[in-house]
Amino acid sequence: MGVLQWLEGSGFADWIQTSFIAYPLVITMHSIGMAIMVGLMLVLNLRLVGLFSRIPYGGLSKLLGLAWIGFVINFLSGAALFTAQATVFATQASFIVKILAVFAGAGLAAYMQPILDREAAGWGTGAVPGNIRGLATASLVLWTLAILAGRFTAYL
Amino acid sequence: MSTLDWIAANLGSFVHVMPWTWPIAEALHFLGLCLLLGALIVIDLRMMGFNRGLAAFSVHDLLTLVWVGFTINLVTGIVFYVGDPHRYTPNVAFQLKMVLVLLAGVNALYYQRNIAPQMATWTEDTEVPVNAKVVGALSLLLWFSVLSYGRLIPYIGTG
Repeated sequence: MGVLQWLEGSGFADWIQTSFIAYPLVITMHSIGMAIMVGLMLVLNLRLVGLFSRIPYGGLSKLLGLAWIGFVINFLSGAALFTAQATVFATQASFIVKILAVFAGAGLAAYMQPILDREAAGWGTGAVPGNIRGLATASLVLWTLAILAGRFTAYL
Repeated sequence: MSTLDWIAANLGSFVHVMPWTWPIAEALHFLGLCLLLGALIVIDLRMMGFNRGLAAFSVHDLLTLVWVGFTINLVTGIVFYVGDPHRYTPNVAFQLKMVLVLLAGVNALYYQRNIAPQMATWTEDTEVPVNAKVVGALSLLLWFSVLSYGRLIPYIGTG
């Protein structure tokens, strides 16, 4: 726990905690990044499981590329928020569930990115290969879980 | 303030009957905003002429998702308001947020009347008209501002 206490005691963590502007600004950035990353992941994966069938698969890989902007915003703002209460978050069940869901979801997205880049344009407008459907379903579950568990970190 | 007292006493009490109503409504409000904004990012960027690989007529279908997200957030938003009307009514961030939602609604009406019909005929090579670019950009600006002011309700203008 030495590292966590050092983080929490740092001048940066103190600024996040006590500055009039820092915490509201960073938490607002975190909600903007969430809307971009999770919002686009929901649209993309709902398409892959079969909804909105008129939308061509070929345009989806660019959306995933855009989603990473949201992920970077939230990685940075999330790291800043974490330092402010490092020892609390690191032991909190809902935070641990959230962070595991986020990294599993991001890992899954990174795995799906080259597949979408290479193959999506060739899928036509019918159903995608079964394994892609499975991955898309897993992604929807993970990002929903990340949102729910993330919100509950404020209460548990 | 008697109206607010009445709301708090008669409607707000339902919100506080179950201890988990508030956090669950908040979690759903976040999920709703992701659906609304995620779908709008796709629609508005295409309206502005980006990501032309997505056929313009097809992204219109995502409006269903926008409405699902909006409905979830209208319902959960009403739960918050009736649960704590004395806190929200004088809050500057909340007031700005509501004004911005109305402006976004006006922008959406303009889209419905003037952009959507022609957008349905756009091909990959169609030159996107200026009003479509403006409406798409305004939509993103307004909704991301709604999100920001909503998140700032605990921090600014708490009256």
